[in-house]
Amino acid sequence: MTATHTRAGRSRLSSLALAFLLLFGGVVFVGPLVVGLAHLSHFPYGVALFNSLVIAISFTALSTVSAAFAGYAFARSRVRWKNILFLFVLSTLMVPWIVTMIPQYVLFYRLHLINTPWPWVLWGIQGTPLQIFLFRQFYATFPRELEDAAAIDGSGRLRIFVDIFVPNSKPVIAIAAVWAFILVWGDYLTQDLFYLIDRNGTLLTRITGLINVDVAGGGLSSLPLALYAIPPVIFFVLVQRYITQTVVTTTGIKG
Amino acid sequence: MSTIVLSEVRKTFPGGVKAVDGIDLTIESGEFMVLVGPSGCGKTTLLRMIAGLDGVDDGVIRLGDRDITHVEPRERDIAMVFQNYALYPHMSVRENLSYGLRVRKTPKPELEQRVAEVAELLGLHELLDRRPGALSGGQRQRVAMGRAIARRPQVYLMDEPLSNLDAKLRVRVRADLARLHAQLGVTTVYVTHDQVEAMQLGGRAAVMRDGRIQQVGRPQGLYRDPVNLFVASFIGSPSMNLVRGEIDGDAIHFAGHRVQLDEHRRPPAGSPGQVILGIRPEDFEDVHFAPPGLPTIDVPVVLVEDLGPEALAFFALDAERVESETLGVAAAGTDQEAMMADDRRALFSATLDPATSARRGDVCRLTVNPARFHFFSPYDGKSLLGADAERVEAVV
Repeated sequence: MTATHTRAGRSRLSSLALAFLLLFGGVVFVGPLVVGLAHLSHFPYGVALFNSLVIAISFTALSTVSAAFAGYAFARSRVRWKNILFLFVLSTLMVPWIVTMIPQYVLFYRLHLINTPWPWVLWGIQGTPLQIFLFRQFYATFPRELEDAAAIDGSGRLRIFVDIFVPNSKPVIAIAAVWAFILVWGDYLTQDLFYLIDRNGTLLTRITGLINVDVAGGGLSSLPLALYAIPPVIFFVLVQRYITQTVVTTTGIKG
Repeated sequence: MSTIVLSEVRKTFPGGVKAVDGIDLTIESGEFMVLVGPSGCGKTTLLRMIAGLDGVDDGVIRLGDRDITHVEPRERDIAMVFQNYALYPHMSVRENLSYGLRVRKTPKPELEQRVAEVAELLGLHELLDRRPGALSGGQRQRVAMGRAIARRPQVYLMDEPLSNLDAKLRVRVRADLARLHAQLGVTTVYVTHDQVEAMQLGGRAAVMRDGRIQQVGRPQGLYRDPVNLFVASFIGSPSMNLVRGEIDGDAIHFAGHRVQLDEHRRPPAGSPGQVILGIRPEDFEDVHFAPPGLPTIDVPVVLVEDLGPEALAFFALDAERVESETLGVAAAGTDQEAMMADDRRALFSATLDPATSARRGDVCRLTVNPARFHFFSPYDGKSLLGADAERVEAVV
């Protein structure tokens, strides 16, 4: 009886301690955010965040769609030389971005696309070799019978892709999209170069400039950093179940 | 009219493998045709060529009045049931059934009516909102059938649709298939490697080997009058017993035995004396249960399997086994062959009356029925009983 009481008392105590800990953690982490939000007028956060989201979302969406099409073609089309072309696409992975950055800057400058989101839109349309590789590998193992069944049911190539392949590709779409989003979101150098003149810049270029500069009192340096971290976290949380599905499926634990 | 006519159809895969090698076959409108043969004989490739999923290298495929040799699958007006069913995993049963109709822009009221009809026909009402992942094997098979039926195509193509079902369910679904075909009357081409399935389902069956049709005919015809050693050994379970023999006047000598031939069933005059003799297991009987007057042979019993309605006895003959390679049977050896792996002698099987006293190690006296003997040429494996037009529709 006494032992039971003692165990219950300990349990209540540990629950209380945990509650205090969480509260303390909340104050520590949310505090700067609250303070910072009160000083938002001093910080061009809105426009910078908007710019960042525009380039990240447009690149993510376009590159994922584009790579999915390319991967489907490489995996399923019956075209001569497609494997050689695929190897060529893969070989571009070995060319460092830094090598082509200046020529691309000159190109976009001449096209008057510097300080606009258009470079990211065009890069997105082009897709990335890694994403193409991901989709190609996924579609190469996609059950051929499903494709055949849809063809006999009356679908053409595009419709088969949209109706059958895409809905069953959520895991690889999630992986490719997260990778693309993080690629753009954390790429300071490219954003700094291609948004150099814009006074608002992107969130990343802005907060980099604000680090160690106390603009409006304590905590503001932490604020943009915290806000900068939120979008990728939200994005990851939204798609993580599909990523887990991929890992589980590809490791053969699940059918 | 949904008659399918295949003329000199050929398909060679990269590497020079001839999957389909000059097939001529006419499948009448409303007929249930079974393509049967061992793995790798080209039956599935031929089915996929009819479906338009594999290209045709040479020859012509006609459906009714149309030449569909190079027509896209979606324009052929056929439906196919796949071995693993190929149900769309992200769609409900209802969406699976109606997908083909939606693609063809069928008006919604008609679409719903057809789905309801198919659900009624196949008992799928309670499953309509489930996804394929939540269905059992038998239910998936019914949905796959339903997807084909809902479109009301001219032809059904079925690629071993029962192979993933357990033995008991297979028997039931096989009966359902026969019932559905009788009810719908649609031309059906059914592929299987299971000769029992072919015997039970086929209005007609085409036995294939190495991309060629060996024989086409009604199942009983294939069983009773095989045109060559391959068909003889492939059709029937247990398979036909084969042994080398020599014709000597009115009798045949084989494995130390001499049996008088039936006057109406013997190789025509002028045939070579050396033959391969084929005897079906049911053409043996324990002498105690056989009608009088039949010739007998004494054989050493190796094994007796009591199957209930009959007993299956195995006995060794003092003659060299006719190897399965000689017959071109691609399948691995049977259990009985494995049992006799160290023995080069021919192992025969006989289905006997279940009350037989034959036991392992005994010498048993069996009757044989010469009126049902089969004779094959040891040189080319063809039947020596003549290619009678009535019983043989297609021979290599």
